[in-house]
Amino acid sequence: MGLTLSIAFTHIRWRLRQTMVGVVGVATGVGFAIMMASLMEGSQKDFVAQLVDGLPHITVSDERRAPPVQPATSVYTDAYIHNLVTKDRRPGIKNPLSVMHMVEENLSGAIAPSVRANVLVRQAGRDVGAIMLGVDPLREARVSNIATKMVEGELSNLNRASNAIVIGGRMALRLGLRVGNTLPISASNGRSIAATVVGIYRTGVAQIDDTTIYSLTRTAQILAGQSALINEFHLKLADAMTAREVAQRIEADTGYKSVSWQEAHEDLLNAFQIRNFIMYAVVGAILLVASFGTYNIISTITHEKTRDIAIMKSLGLKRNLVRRIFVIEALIIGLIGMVAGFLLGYAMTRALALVEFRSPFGDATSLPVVYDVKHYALAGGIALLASFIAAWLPASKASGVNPVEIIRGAS
Amino acid sequence: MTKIEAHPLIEARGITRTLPGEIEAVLVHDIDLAIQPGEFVAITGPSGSGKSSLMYLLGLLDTPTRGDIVIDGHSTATLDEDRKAQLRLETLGFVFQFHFLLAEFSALDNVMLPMRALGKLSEEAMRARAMSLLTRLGLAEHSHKRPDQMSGGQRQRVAIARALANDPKVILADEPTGNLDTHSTEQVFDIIRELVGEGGRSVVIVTHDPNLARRASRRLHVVDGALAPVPDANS
Ligand SMILES: Nc1ncnc2c1ncn2[C@@H]1O[C@H](COP(=O)(O)OP(=O)(O)OP(=O)(O)O)[C@@H](O)[C@H]1O
Ligand SMILES: [Mg+2]
Repeated sequence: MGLTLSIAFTHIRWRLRQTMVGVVGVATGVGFAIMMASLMEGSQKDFVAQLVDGLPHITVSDERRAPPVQPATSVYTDAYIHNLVTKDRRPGIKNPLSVMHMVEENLSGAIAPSVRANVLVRQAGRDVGAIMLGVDPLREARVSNIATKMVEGELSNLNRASNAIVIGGRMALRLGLRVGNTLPISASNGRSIAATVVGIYRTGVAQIDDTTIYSLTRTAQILAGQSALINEFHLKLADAMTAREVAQRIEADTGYKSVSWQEAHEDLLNAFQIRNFIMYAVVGAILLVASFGTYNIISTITHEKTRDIAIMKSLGLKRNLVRRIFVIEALIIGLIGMVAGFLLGYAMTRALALVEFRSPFGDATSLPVVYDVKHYALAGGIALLASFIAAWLPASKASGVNPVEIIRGAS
Repeated sequence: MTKIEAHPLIEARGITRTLPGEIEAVLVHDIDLAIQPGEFVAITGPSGSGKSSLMYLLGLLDTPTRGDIVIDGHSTATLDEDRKAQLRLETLGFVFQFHFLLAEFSALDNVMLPMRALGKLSEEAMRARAMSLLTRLGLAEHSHKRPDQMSGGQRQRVAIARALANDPKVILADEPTGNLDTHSTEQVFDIIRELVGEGGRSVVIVTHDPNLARRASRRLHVVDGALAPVPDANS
């Protein structure tokens, strides 16, 4: 081992410039791979965090995934009945309190009841569709961070006035509304109230900021014309990642449609997977290109050292030992490049995290990055593996030379 | 005294080496020979007669097309490359016309190379042994020089020290003085002759110089790849 190492070191010291080029190649590859992984995963985590923090993890509603089975169909099982008109059902969750307690029983997290109603907001002679969410401000604060997203007023201001509402920043901008303004809001059943804006929030999720109006449960119930109506539960779980399983359980237990945040954003999460795949492909390509440099160096060295290889073999050094010399050379290059790449990648990630930019609606934010040992291990591992493979081919070829041919030719 | 049945260190049994091609070239033709312990054998012959080819075969660098080479009682016909390399490392030492030292390494490191490959001694023991070999060859103060910092004679002496590294039973020297001036030739030849007999060591040397050949204990003559009668001393 000492022998192969000392020969390997001598070779690469003697080919210092080329070695440096190889090291820089590997370092650049590893560095950029790490930076890219940090940024990709950082932005993804950031996005998911925004999603998970801002929205309820699970929404239980009185909707159904399929139309309910009609009584006639269940009685006459052998007959095919068509043109049935679905029996009217009273909207809302039946016995909301008992359902809530049932869900709460084995839940690690919080649950809040709410009323969702589609409404029209009339402003300056235009009707604008919106969603009214009647909540209990205290309970709602436990399942969403809306209370922390207020830019004007407080969520608890809802209690201060009758028919008070809190609207999103985008809606306020679009309709020219300010705190203190009063505007008419009507429901699809024709009922109408004059609501007063007592606060403005901004979640950063455009669709919500544009369409969702918060009010007290009672206000929404009045608009819906149904006192005691509860048609939605919002849940926040201790572990957001279990939402899918918990939602399935709740749906099975209660029969009400339970949508986890993952289900609600299925296509987004799919897009992340595609993004990750692209990232790994690009990282792999970067490291592959970096290993071409190593291949080049090892080929050059083995070529120039053919005579030395013949000498060593004539002395009785075995083929594997000769091959090991050159594989070790590549691994040394790969190792130094890897460590340099770690530093480079870390430095670039740090630099990226310092870059600030301003979104049109948000405050100044910096690029979200994560520092994860896994990124380093992955990039370093691939770099070393690539170095190994890059050296194996020329080293195998070189170690197979026939010493007689070289010695005969040289003497 | 009881007579111990001594076997030859190297025995060639009907070895032939041909090169495949349109016209098959015969490098070595049906040679039988045995090198006994303590022998000093000189091989002579015209240029291109196959002396080097024979040496490569005896030293297991090349494989005969037919026949077998027995090293210290072990047949080598069926050995794989690695086993033959191990035999070379342990029992044979080569000296060529060209020194074939590794250019980036000091004399000492060059001498230590076969010891390190064998790995039987500690680092200090290897260093001490290499140093004593270099001292014996009069190179004590040159041990840290690289080959390009030495004269031809010095380099060839380093090559001899390297051949002696693992205390081989046989030294195979192919025109070791071929590139040297008269003075260095005498020096190197004397050193080689001193090595004969140490612990039963044999030396086989190829030379063009009849004066050197005459100083060997036995002479072999090769013509057209086959053994031939040694020409008259005065011719
Ligand atoms: N690869 C080869 N292809 C064709 N012929 C070869 C090859 N190698 C050697 N020969 C021939 O084989 C013969 C023996 O060569 P070898 O080197 O053994 O002779 P030699 O006795 O050592 O000669 P010298 O005294 O010049 O060193 C020569 O005629 C040489 O030309
Ligand atoms: Mg020759």
